[in-house]
Amino acid sequence: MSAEIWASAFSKLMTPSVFLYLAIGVLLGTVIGALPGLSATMGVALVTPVTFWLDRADGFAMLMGLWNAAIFAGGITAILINTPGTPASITQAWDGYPLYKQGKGGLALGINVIFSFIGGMVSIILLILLASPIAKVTIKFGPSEYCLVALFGMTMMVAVSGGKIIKGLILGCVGLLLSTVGLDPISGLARFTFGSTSLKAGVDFIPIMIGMFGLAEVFYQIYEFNKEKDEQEREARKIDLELGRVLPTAKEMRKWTPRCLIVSLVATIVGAIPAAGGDISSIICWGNSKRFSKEGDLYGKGSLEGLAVSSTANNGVIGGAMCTMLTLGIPGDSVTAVLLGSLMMYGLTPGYTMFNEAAEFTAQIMILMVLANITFLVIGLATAKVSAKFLNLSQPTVWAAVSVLCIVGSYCINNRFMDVIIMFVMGIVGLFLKINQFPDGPLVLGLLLGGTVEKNLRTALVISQGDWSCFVTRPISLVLFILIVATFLYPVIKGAVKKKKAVAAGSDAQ
Amino acid sequence: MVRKGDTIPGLCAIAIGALTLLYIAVHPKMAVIGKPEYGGVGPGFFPFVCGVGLLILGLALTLRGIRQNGSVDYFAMTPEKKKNMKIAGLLILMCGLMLAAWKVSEAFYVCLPIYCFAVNKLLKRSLLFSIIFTVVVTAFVYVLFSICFTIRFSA
Repeated sequence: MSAEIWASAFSKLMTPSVFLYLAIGVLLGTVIGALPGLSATMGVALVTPVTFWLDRADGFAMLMGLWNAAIFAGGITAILINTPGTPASITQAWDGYPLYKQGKGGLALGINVIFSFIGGMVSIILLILLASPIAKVTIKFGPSEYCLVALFGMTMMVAVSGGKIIKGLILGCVGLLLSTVGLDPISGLARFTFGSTSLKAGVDFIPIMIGMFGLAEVFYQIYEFNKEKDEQEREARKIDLELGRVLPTAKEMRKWTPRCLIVSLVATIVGAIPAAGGDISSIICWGNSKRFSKEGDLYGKGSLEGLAVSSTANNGVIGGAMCTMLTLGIPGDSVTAVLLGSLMMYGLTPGYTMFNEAAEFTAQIMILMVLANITFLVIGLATAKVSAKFLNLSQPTVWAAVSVLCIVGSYCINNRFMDVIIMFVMGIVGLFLKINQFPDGPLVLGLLLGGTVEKNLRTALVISQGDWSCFVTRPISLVLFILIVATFLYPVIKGAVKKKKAVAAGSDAQ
Repeated sequence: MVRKGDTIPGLCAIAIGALTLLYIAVHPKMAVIGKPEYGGVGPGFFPFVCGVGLLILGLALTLRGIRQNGSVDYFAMTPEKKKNMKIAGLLILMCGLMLAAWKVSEAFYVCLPIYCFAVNKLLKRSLLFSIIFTVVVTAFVYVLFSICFTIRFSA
């Protein structure tokens, strides 16, 4: 992308409305992230329908603000009540909560904001530098390569299944099946529409996501509600220890920053790997930093450095995840899966076309991410102590509000009552799946990527006149094919080796 | 014993897979193998692959459920969970009733406050809180969606 495009994108973003929606997004994200049980994914899924009524730049400003702020705000609950607001904040609880109990809660909250900002900024700079060259590679992609890239994304169903591989694959198949509802991309035949005109356009994924991540989550939280645990958390909120200073000293910043810059690089790489989200990144970075640090013994007992590393790793994945999503159309995590859905709803296709035909808007997305980081740094530091008050919002209030937003949000996408019904049905299905411990990530992957796989697979076969070897005869497709086979075989081989080792250990013991 | 563990979800997957294959079988246009000009793949190919996949994976899950022999029970009900399930069930019912009432009456701004109030009472919030919540949320939805975004909530 040329300097003119960047300059034009930047100048078009310098409007009061963009900054207003950015600030609203950051505030919403801070509240959502700070409330245990509400995730960035749920927030983005709920707010996406609202953005369709705004100017594209304003809408994405709100989404970027919400996403970036929700990730950092997950650390607030981790620090103040030892309950990670997001799974990625788990390591922040290990150091943050002991710090709060030592009377350094303010400093812990300040470190969370500042180092989340550093992690986010480094990863976005890398995104800006690397996304365009990666997208240029995709110009060589034909239907067979696009099919295999999407298929490679779908192999991540195994990774996002969290050990429940069969259940993950079942949901992946259901997602794929849902993606086939509507008109066939080649022959135009109506499939699984049962005479409904509204289903001919296919199943909209936003109502499904709102149902799965919003309403189902509310139902499940009610089902899992533990009064005793809730009362304990309420007591913890009442303690209200001295928070102390918020800003670290210049000496402390100099001490932690070099380490955190390295952590940012690692987190960006981890974020770029599909399905490896903030939780994996923060654990990898925190664990390795503990191993190599002089004060490694303090990690987990209230280390300021440990907290800085965790906070950096959390937000460091954002740029990496966005890079994979924008260039290859593969969502790096569940939030980027929802964002991918939003981009498609806006009529944008990730890959070279987006960097070529919608270059200015693509540049705007990246600039908005930078602005979102700056906004949450300012708002986060200014409200560090006040943010603790959000935690006093009770769970039933949140449940009631989210259930209303799910209904209204799903209707707003297309002004269609059918979408509300789909959302409601998916909420009930989602509850059943959650109780039976089905991972919801594969369903989203199947639904999002299913259409791309089918359309490109069949287009490739039409071009090659039914010759399936087109998927292995081109260099890029061959590499992708090997990667897919390796991804599927790796857990099988790993399991077999593990089993063999266990048998060998058993016979040695005998 | 058959109600425990992964048996029921496995049977559900088998049922979805079987229904998909049945749909393909009864619709002649949903051909799995297509005309040569369509690359030899028909509109039924992809659903067929998904259906077969669901059948195989569902069978594997059912067998695992049977082998678990009751050792895993996702619906294990403690008295607290029973109570929670009742609340969740009532919330689902209220949500369904609200949608039905909206569809029949077309009066979204009548159904919404009733729903808000009922949900708050279900979640054991005080009368005053329920009224404030209902007023605030209804006003918020009206101002943001109906005035700012000019959305007409018609079912």
